[in-house]
This record gives sequence, C-alpha cells and structure tokens, in this order.
Amino acid sequence: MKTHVASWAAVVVAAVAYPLAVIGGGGPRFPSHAECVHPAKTDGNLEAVFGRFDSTVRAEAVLRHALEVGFKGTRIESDGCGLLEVTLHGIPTLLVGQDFIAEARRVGFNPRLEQGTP
Amino acid sequence: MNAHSIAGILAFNLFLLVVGVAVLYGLRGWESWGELLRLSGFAYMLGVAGLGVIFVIELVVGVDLSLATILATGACLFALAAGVGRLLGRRLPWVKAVSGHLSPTAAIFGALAVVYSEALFRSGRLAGLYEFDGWAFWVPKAKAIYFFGGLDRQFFEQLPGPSYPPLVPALEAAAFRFMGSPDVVTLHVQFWFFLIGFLTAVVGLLAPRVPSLLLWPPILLLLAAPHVLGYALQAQGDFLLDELVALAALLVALWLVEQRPWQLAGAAVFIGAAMSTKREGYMLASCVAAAAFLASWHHARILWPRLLLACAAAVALTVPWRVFLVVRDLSRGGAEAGGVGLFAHADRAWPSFRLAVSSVFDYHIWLIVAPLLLLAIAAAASTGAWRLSGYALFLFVLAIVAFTWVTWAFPSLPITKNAALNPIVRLTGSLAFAATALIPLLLGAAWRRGQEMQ
Repeated sequence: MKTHVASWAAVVVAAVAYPLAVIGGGGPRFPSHAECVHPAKTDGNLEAVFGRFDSTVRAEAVLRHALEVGFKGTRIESDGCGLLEVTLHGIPTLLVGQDFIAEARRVGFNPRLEQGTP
Repeated sequence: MNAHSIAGILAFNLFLLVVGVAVLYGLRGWESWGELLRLSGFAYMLGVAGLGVIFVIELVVGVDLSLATILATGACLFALAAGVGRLLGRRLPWVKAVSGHLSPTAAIFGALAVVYSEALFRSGRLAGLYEFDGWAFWVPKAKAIYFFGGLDRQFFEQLPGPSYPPLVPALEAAAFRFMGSPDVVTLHVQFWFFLIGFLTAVVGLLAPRVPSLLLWPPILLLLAAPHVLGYALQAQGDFLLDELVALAALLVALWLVEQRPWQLAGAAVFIGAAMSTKREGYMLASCVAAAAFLASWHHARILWPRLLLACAAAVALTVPWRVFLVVRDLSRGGAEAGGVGLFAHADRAWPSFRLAVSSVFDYHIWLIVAPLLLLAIAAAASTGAWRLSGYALFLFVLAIVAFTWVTWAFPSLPITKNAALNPIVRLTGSLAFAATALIPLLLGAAWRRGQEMQ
C-alpha cells in the first residue's frame, strides 16, 4: 500500500514540479518597443517604416496615402510584436534610404529607416 | 491564446470524453471504476472517432454544425451507445472506490510522460499557424464550417485537397464553437489532446497485458522522435490519422490474440474515422485489414467472416462522403498514374521503394522505432507467438509497399524527403505510431512465453 501511494505521489510531484519550475523562471514576456524596432545601421535588407498601428483602419489610411503620392510597393505587415507596420522594402543602402526619407518628408511623411528582419 | 479559449477547448475535450465513455460502455463496459480510469484515453479516442465520423455525415447531408447541433449529436450518440450497452446487459460496477494500482516502474515512466506532455502543451498553446497545409486548407475548411455552417460549395471546390474528407476540419470547427471564436493559435492545443488521448489509450489498453518495463520505453521513444517533437501539434490531419490507424492496428492485434468482439468493433470505428480523415486512410486501412487476413489464414473459416463484417462496417461509415464527391463532381483523389500508369513509370519503382525504406528507418525522423519493431517481431516469433508476429510483419511489409506506391503512382512527386515536395515522411508516421503500439505487445508476448518455457 505504501509503495502504491508513493508511486502516485511521484507522478503528482513531477506533474506539479514542472509548472512550478516554469513559473519560477518568470512568466511569458512581451517584446519591448526597442526589441521590435531595429534601426538601420548597415547596408542591405533595409526598409522604410511609415508607422506602426494597432488598428487595420489606421494602417490602411496611411498605406492608401503612401500609394497615392507614389510610393509603390508599400504594404502592411505584422511587425511580430502585435502591431501592423506600413512599410516599403527593397532599399539597398543607407545612402539611398536617407534620400528616400528626405523625399518622403517633403510630402508629409516621417518614415524611419530600419533593418529588415530576415 | 486566452483563458476563455483554453477553457472552451478543455470543455470540448471533456465533451468528447463523456461521449466516448458512453461508446466504451456500449462496446465493452467496465468491471470497476479503476478500469474505466485506465481506459479513459481509449474512451476519449472513441469519442473523437465516433463524433468525427458523425460530423462528416451531418455535413454531407447539409446539417449546420452549430453548437446546438454538436451538443445534440453528442447527446444522441451518448444515448444510443448507452442504450446498446443496456441492451447487451452491461451493468455499472457497484463499488464506488477507485483502485488504481501503479507500480514504481510505471510511476517513473508515467512521471516522465506527464512532464513531457506539460512541456508539449506549453509549446502548443502559443504555436502560430505556420504549417503550409494547415493555413492553406485544413484550417480554412474549419473556418468555413464555423462561419458558413457547412461545406460551402465554391469554397471547398477551390481549396487544395477537395477530396479530403472533412473529419479534422469538422472537429476543428467544433473546437472553435466551444472556444467562441476561430482561435487558430489555441487550436494547436486540440492536437495536444489528440496525442495525449492516443498515448493514454495505448497505455490503458496494454497496461494489464504488458509489464511496465516493456510498455513505456517504446512510447517514450516515439515521443522523443524528432518528427513528433517538431510537428505533432500541427493543425493538420496527419497525426490524427496516424493515431487512429495505430489504435486500429493495436485493437486488431489484440483481437487476433484474444478474439473479444469489442476489440474488432473498436478497430472498425477507428478505421472508419481514419478513412474519414485523409485519403491515405483508405490505403492504411487496407494494410491493417490485409495484414489481419493474412495473419489469420489458418483460422480463416472462423475469423475471416468477422473481419469482413468489421471491414464492411468501417467502409459503410465513409460511403456518405464518397457519394458526396460523386454528387458534387469533385476529384475522387485517385492516383495520378492511374491503374496501369504504374508500368509507364516503372523507372520510379526502385527509387520510390528506397525512399520509403530510408524514411521509415531514418534516425533523424523516427529514431530507432522501425528497427525496434523488427527486433520485437523477431523476439515474438522466436518464442512461437506466430499470429501476432506474423500480423506485425505483414503490416510492416504492406505499409512499406503502400508508401512505395504513393511516390511511384504520383509522378509529380519528386524523390525526396522534403515535406514540402513529397508527403513520404508524414505518411511513415502511421507505421511509426502503429509500431509504438505493437512493440510492447510483441515484447510482452515474447516475455510471457519465455517465462512459460522456463
């Protein structure tokens, strides 16, 4: 009878120990803003991010305006951190990126040059 | 993921369990509450298979799969199975106490399995829907059933795999109903329940027949296999198909040895559900049936009529879907090369065979499950357990032939293990899962006969 109880106790202890150990290590953490945004530092795989939004309606409004003024290829993507980003990929170098930012500012946008995530 | 979805999916699986317990009562009953506890995984899988098949039939005849329909279907199956059980004279045990004997060996292995399942749950509850087939058609079909109630004609015709029976999308849609939304993240937890249901079913069925030391290691080996670790919770039909086929194969093996009617009846339910899960279910069901016929050759006059009856019952469960395909003029899902087309592509035979064998024996996919099955077959055969070892060997050989046929008969499939190009790795899962259920039985038979010889 003692063995029988000990056997069940071992299973229960294992079943409880794992979640306790996981909780002891801290709960799931959502990435911070700094971890989601990767400012452009080197050439290659760059994108111009027109903004991040928590609603599709707002993101679509910005996208529509960007397309209207001629920024073809701009699209809406998930930023991997729960927000929608209006972004334009395919910027080859930092120099081209800076030119693009200046051009965008002239038509009322304030995009940020970021390193694209692989 | 949120607590609401988790609670919903838990409620759905409790519902499957309750219905499955009634089906178990109709099929075999139980002598003690401890026995019911031991067979609860088996009962759960009976609930999954039984309700899944009925959901498919309901969708075919145009019934809206609403929450009320789902609950009513479960209540009807519960009442029907309970009524059959009463008619067959089954009684509930009088003793209220539950005695669940657990040996120290079983406790150690059980604790490992519990921790594994907790870790798997943790990875599944926040899993994204990244798998191609999952987001391309399995889950969209489930969403269509959830939003439109049934099999929307245009949507189902234009998605990939229109000939695939909708058992998995129907169960997924039912899970969405219980969750209250089409939460495709928490949906992965449903496949965790299927896997745990399968494991507990195998353990529950084999525990009184096989010593713990022979029962648990093959199961833990499967759980540690890279393909299971990486893909078991994908929101697709492959793993549920493997689990259903493996349970059918195990029940047929038990029936060949013990010849209890409930074992064959249970196998028919699982085979019917497997054939309602994926097209490959027909092929794998044929392998299980053919292996059983071959292994029972010497007692054909007694055993074959029962086997034929079980096969007919399983096929009958899939007839509505086949009729539906004809009525809607959808692809029946036959082989690209057709019947005699195989000869026109004879040059693919040998590479297809090599691909099938190398996938089954690939250490980086299934570890040593296949070699262990062959060793277990040899061990059982060496002690004279001919019928059981013969059945397992026939099943192994027929499965290899079937896997070879798939690559051979579909010339558009390249000879590769790349899952995006050829389904061979996913297909071999059925044999790996069946092997995991059969290895303990084979080793147990060898061990028992060895003891008797001494």
